[in-house]
Amino acid sequence: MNFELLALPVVFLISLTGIILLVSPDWRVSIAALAVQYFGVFVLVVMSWLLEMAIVKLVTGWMVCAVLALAKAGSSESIIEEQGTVMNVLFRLLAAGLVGLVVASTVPRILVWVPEITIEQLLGGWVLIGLGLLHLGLTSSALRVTLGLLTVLAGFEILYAAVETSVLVAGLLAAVSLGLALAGAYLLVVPSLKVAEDEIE
Amino acid sequence: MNAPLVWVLIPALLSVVMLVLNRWQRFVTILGTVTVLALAATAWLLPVKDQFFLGPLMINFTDTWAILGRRFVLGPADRSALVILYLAAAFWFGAAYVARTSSLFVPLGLAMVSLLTAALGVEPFLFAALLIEMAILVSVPLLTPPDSQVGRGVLRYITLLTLGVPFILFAGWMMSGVEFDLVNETFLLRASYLIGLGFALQLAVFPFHSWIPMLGKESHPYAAAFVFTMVPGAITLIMLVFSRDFPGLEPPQRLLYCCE
Repeated sequence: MNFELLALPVVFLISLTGIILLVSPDWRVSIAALAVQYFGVFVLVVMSWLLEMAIVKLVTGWMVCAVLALAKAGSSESIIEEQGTVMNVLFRLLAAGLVGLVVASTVPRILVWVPEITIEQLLGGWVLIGLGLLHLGLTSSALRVTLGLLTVLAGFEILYAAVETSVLVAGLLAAVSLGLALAGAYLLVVPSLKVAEDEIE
Repeated sequence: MNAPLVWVLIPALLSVVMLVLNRWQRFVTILGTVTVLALAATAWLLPVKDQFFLGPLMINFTDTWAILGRRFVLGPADRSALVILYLAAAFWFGAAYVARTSSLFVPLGLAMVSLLTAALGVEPFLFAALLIEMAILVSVPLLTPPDSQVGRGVLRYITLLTLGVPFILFAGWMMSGVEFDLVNETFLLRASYLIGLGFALQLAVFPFHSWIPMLGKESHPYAAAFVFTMVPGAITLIMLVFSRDFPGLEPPQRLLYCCE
């Protein structure tokens, strides 16, 4: 299968998922967007890695989504935090537009620095890093911080896959993503852990 | 037998065992303290890269453990770092029960020390960033024990230390290029900026220090002090090992010449 034909549509797809993660108030939509985002990461990584190795990104990403969804499923609230107002969404979209401008203006220079990376990989990775950082700057919710960090790491993994093909790095990066999801899941359930222990007793 | 097996794998496995036994907190605290003291003593006394006799048995003790095409090396030069790391852990574990820390303190603390030791020995150096990140993630339940509210400090701690990882990894890749092309001063300078920023984020250097007072306020003071000691302490040791081993960063004149 020629993944290079998919590369540019995938860049738009992961930009869209990054924006959905940024503006969506519903955790189910956010985690679904993250799962789609990991498919995009897989397509961009497979341009540099063997399919057998690149599939690790997809499997790990979907495991991350499953862990977060399971942790959040116990909670009764579907809204992550109060960000459903029109002005809030507009502000976040405008900020995402600014990230897009920064990405567009810096990509040509970075391509000169690191010629091993293709323009699609650079655009995809850089957009995710930018949107992830923006996400981290706008929140103090445990789930959103986890989603933001996973987005930044996913962007970095796209860029790093082009320059480093080591199996150990692939494994360690997968372990870090899973560890981040587990830490995020722990932070989501930790206020209710003692209650659960009391119930068992 | 090899050194990483003794100072990485054994404490990692023991931490899992202690996690299972964490109901008996006093026993786990004693076991953890004795373990790290014994590991500090072996780091001090055991001859690495040598043969020694255990009764009639002759045991070859190497400093290298190869896994997935990469190596973990804990040679004689790393001895002092190992002794410091394990003695510091013994200091904190020793009074953990009296300080009324969470029952997860010793098992997860030992897992952290094991991961930080692995970060000290991994080759190439750039993989250390990923092992440090794992140690940071393991420390999250120490700082936010069950039945406590998630504070902003722990979120900022995870965020800033995780953001340091890509910088160190990318700088490591750039520097591996510099190894082959030592005349490329611009490349070296860019890599130095990246690694400087990565370590600044992980060592909580101003302006990335805000998580320290926040964590001190939100978390159990003993657990917070353990993290404040072990994480930046181990990262500093790793940075020293890195600057010792990496030929491109040895002469500071190179950077000065580049700046001119």
